[in-house]
Amino acid sequence: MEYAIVYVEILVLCAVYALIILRSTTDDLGTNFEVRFFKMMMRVYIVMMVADGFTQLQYNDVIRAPLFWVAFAYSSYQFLLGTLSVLWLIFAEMQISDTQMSKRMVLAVVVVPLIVMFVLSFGSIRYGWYYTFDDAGHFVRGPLFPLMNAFAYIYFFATTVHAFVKLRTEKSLVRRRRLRLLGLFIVAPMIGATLQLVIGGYPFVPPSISIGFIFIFVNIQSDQINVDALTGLNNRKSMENYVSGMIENASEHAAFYLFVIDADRFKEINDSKGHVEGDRALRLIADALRATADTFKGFVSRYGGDEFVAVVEATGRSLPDAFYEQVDIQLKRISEKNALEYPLSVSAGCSRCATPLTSVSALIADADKMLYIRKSSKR
Amino acid sequence: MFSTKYTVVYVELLMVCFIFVSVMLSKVSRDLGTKNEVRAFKWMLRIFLVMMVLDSITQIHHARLIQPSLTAISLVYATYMFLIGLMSLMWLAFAEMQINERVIQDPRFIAFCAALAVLFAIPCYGTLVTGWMFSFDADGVFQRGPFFVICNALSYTGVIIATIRSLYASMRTTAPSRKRRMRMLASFMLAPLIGALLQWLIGGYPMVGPCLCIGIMFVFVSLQNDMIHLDALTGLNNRKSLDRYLEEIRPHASELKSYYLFIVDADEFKKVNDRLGHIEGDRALRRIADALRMTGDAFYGFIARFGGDEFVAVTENSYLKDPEDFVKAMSDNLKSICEKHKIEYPLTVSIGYTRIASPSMHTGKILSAADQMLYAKKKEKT
Repeated sequence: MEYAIVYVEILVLCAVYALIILRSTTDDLGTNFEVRFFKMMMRVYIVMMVADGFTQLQYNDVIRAPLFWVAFAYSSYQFLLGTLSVLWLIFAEMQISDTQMSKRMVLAVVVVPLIVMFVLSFGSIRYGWYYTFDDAGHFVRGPLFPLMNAFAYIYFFATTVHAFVKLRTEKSLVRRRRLRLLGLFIVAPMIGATLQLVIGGYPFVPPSISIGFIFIFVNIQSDQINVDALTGLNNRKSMENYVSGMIENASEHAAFYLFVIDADRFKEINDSKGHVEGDRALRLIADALRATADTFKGFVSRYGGDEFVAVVEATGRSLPDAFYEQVDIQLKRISEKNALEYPLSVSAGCSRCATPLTSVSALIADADKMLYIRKSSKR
Repeated sequence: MFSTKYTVVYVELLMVCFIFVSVMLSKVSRDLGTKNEVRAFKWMLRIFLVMMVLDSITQIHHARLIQPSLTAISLVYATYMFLIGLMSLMWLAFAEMQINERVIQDPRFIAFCAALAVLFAIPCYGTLVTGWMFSFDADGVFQRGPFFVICNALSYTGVIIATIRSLYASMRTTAPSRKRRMRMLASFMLAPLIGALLQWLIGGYPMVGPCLCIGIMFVFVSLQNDMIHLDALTGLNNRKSLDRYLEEIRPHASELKSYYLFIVDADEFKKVNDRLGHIEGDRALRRIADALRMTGDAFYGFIARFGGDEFVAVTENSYLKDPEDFVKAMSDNLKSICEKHKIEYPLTVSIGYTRIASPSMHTGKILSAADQMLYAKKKEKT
């Protein structure tokens, strides 16, 4: 009995964590659909904990109930675990591949398996496919027992494989991070499932899934903290973290350039065309800088207002001029693509860092000075 | 004597807490607060991790699965109890810094914390000699000493002080974001409180650990959420929160219950930025934010940084009869803050506003109406 109570305590802890995650999942976690599925997963998980808790309390005679109810709770738990894995697949697929799943696909990987799982789980109460209880009320594995968890884990596993396959071709840093996150979700549940198989009799699967969720949630949250909402670039804070890391390791062999980029006559756009158009201009500049940073394998962030900061390692190519050139090319391309009515241009300045004996603000101030000179010479 | 199965699941629970908190610890980034706040919070989590390990050892010992020397196991117990006190002190430091950022530079506060830590250490480790808190009988079974309960209660001192202080601060402040933060700090107390209560009611089960684990998650998530919804430079609400706030109030707007939305824009900010550099520019923005915070408090308004050198304030008409009052208060507050901080260049703002009196006005329209007035005012000035 003591055992059952601590078992249930673990489940309660997991359920409360899921509840906290559910409550703090705000609409800005992702697209509407993603948020909905994520929340649904949390709800399913909480009900799953309740079902497992009931199973344990009854099985260990803390609550006395007919065997049917023990089996019912257990079957519900199994079915919910299957449902959770299907939801996870949908949630992850939405982010891995941008295209919507076709109707056929949904039928094949969502609807049919769910029905099969439902029949097998609840049918076991009567026909003992997965498990039965012997006369003494002890749990006995049935002929299809190995299938029981396999369903869920095949789904978890498939998502991981897909995420890592996609990772090989994905270029954008933000997306790569997200893909890696989705792929790594499986680690904790896999360890949990292995422990459950080897040791058995202890609740390993529920907390291991919970660890996976916490891992995902906490990481998505901190991505949000580090990303500028308007442009999707890194924000100022993550730039400061990044640059101070670069400064620490800077030397003549590991030098880098820091660029400060400022939109030309942005105030005019903002004042004459309004904030909405101003925001659009900032997004386009961000796109151009992102493309530029990609070609130099550099880092780019929004510093605030109409100012951006980029960091590029000083290797090979004739920096900083090649960088300026590339920014102009990209800006021109994007302006044309979007048929902009006003000219969109930027001015930039840079500073070179080859020593750890400097600071982020000093580098920015230096680049800023150069930016100002270059800007005045334009007029 | 409990079964081995019980011990295993007990230790599993502690390990689950351990892993949950480790995941959070790995994501406590530098920017979750000021440097010292982050440090205190991280130490709290680290102490918690050690506590979970020590508690596991005591359980395994309790089940006679290991047979260390009595001195060794006493040390484990004593350290465990000492760490409870230390963790609660870390929480006090963390909470105090939120209430007053500079407290960490106050030698009296440091002395107070150090004294409390020594106060915990004496009974915890002294019990090895005196047996006040606990001792082991001839069979090696744990026995509570005469002062067990008192010493245990003592270790909650830090949390209790922190709770009272933050409750008091939450009552005194009018700024909604600060009020929320203070309430959050105060409600952390619930975690150890419920844990201790459960432990007392149905002893023999691990209650404090999991409850603290939940409390930590709660705090961590609120801090993260604040990071997402607040502007890093000024600590005001960011644009995301503004959009959400406007969506929230819009359906309730009517002729009776109307709102004023103000757009506050720094004058000649570009010049400050270009001539004196970004760092001075940032400082100017913080000063404006301070002035806006004061003004917002006075009229119970919602304030946010819109982006760049633009800020937004929204107030309800029941707190503000004439919008020009707000404009005047804002300029006065900014002037006095500039004098206080000896700002040498002229730092002024222009303010445009609009009235929201019907649910049909969408956000873009509201903003552009206020923007137009702002633009007109700016033109007047130049």
